Amino acid sequence: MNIEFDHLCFSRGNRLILNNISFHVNSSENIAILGGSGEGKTTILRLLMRLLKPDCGRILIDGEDISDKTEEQLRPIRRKFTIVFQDGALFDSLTVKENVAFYMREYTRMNEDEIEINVRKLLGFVGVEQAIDLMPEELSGGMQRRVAIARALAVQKPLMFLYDEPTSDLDPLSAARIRELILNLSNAERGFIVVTHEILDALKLAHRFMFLKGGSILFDGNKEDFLRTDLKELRTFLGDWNEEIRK
Amino acid sequence: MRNYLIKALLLKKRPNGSLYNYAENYMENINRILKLTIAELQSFYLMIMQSVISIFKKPIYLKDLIEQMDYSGAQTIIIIILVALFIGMALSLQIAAEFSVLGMQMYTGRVVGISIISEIGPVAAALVFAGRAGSGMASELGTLVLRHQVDTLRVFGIDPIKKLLTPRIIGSILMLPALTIIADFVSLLGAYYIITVVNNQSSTVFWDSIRLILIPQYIISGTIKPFIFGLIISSISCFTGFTTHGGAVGLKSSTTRAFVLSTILIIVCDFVITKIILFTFGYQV
Repeated sequence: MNIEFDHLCFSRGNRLILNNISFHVNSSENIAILGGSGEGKTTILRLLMRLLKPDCGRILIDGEDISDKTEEQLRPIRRKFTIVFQDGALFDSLTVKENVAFYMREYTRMNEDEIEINVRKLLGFVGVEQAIDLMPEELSGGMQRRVAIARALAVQKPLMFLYDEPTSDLDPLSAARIRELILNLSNAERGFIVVTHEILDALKLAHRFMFLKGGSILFDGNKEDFLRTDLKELRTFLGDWNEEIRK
Repeated sequence: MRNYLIKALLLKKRPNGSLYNYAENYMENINRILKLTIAELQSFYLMIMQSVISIFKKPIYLKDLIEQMDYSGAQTIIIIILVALFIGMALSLQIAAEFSVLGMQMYTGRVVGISIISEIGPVAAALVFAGRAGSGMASELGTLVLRHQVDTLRVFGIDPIKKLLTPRIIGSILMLPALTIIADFVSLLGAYYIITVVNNQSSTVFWDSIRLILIPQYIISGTIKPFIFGLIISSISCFTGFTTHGGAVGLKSSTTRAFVLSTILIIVCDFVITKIILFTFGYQV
């Protein structure tokens, strides 16, 4: 699957968030979008899922422009992706089991026994099977994130995963588990886009790096170029990591 | 001032002067507010139309509808009963006191009955419903929006309007009339207690006067209103909840807005409906 952002701009009120950005992504790539808070990283994910409508430019999925499609037309396109929001966005009136089973109940004809088996398998895969009957509010941040990943996995055959700040506010151990999960879920055909301001996440997960600043993509390249860049804004963003990288 | 406003509208050249700038800003603000209001009304209309049309489309979220009927109906009964009972008692107490001075005690039941069945019952039930169920809907939907749960539904390919708004609107339209009947009945019981037990009037006279007022005019007035109020409360609450933005402050503002707008519209619509019904039945008022 090919994704293309073509001269896209987006503003919120009077504030320009994305200014005429263009890039091309293949669904098999592992990409990290980096940038400070409020630079429009999450906006890119939300535009890609067409949860937001661009002010100008086009979003092309396999050559098909989705910028002007209706909600009904967007449904099959959205099912090609699966997104894990920053806070997990679990349905807080449903148990962990019901959250993970949500998609299966809506779109498959599985009976309750089959759903239970599948839910347990998915929760086992992300390592939170013991939380099956708990409510989201009873889970820690890391567990919520893992349940959200399990729920995202329930979507049948997504072609690409989208992660919005997957490890923010997590302790190092939980963050490492989430990173491991993200890597386990990707393969030669199914990649991901991870939006983060955590340099460690980006370095451990991605092969391609984009850096957003002032509504523009200032850097787009591979790991080698990312580490050797002389771009002042990116060096400033990397901060203490500059020395680590030199070592 | 008027001349400056006309200049602001007609002149292409910008004359210097603060009053002119003030007039120009004033017109710009009016223009902006008008545009925003029209845009919001349009979104409101489209959203509500979409949720009503969704009733006839598959899938049907019956479980969600029953949950909403339970929340807005069954869980609101106690508060409706309490409010209706004391409204009925207070109203009959006041009217009985005034009528006894005029020597018209035998009309107390009739006046109280008409007031309760055609006016106070539906309005009181609707106001309680707006305060309890309407605000609840707005805050629940607002939270779902702010926590990206509505986005998650959209990502899963589920129509959030059909899943979240339609059951709430249908649930309210079905439950408010039922609650109004209960409110009317409890209010009449309260009035019966005050008129017969406290004021020592005949219970036969009271129930006869209630039976006599059960004519189409009052029954229609009392039965149409709850359906319309149910639609008003649920659509406003759902719309304000669904368009929540700006975190906790935004949530507070949409909940308040839902209640305030619903209350104002209930009172205004009550007047309009009463006027139409009276006109239909040939009253010259």
